Amino acid sequence: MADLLSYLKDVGKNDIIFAYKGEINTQLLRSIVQSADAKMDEFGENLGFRKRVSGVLIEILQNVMRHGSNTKIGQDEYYPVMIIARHNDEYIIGTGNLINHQEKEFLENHINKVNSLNPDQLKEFYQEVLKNGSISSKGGAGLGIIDVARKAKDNRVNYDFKEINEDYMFFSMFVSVQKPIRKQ
Amino acid sequence: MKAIYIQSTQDTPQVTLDIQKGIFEIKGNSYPENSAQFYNPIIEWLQELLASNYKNKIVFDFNFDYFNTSSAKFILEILRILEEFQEKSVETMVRWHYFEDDIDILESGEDYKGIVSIPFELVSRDDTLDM
Repeated sequence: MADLLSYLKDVGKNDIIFAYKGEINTQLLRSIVQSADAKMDEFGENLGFRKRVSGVLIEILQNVMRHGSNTKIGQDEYYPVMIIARHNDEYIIGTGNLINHQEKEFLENHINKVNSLNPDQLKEFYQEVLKNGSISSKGGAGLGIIDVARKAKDNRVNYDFKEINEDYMFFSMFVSVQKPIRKQ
Repeated sequence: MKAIYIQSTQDTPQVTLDIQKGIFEIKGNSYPENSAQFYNPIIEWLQELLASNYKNKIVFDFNFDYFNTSSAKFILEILRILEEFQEKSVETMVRWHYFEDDIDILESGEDYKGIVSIPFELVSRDDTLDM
């Protein structure tokens, strides 16, 4: 599975709009959303596309906020990271955060399932999870990734796990968001 | 029943629930970190109204710029309560407003329309707004 850093090597440094490492809280989320929107406006993106990118950004960052509570292992700090880049009229949103093995199992199964579905199946899966309530104890992360996949290029959520020790690993994911196309 | 008026913020919508004026509306952005805290008072208010002998027509306007997936669950809960009003023979309808270029809000309206069985109108609007 592709990881964010090797992907960004191709993207090029000039395409990076925003990069951050540190704790992510609600206040910061709000200002990131505002700055990203202003930047996309400068690039002349239409409102529908800006809202889609902001929506994916919000969903992914709130996911990190829910799961990324621990940042320290021994003396080493593993703060959440995030990046927004623009490349060939697409926006790439990537994040990384520390998770435990239990969370890995849920995320890996869930993302693999999501990546195996076509747009119609994703729509059905979204409705099923929406109707039947939360599938995650941490509040709706399950629905978030389905929503992100529905808006991502090729409906694909890319991810990578790097083992840190027997309890923890660093989880990174990225998606490329493309302009909405109305499917009849 | 006492009306509910909530001012919008960057990440929570404006809410108007007023039976005297016949206004039922949620408008703006909805991506609070804690959606339950925001939506529970609204759900409770609607349940209280449902338990009363309210008989007037309900037209519920959803006018979102954006909502996150944890808000999505509460929107469905509100729609489920509206279904119950209809089952109690209270004439009920939903107007789902979307900015004309916003395919995502339009399609999420279509998702809900497919899930619930109440009259559900998709209404396009033309404007500009900020996240």
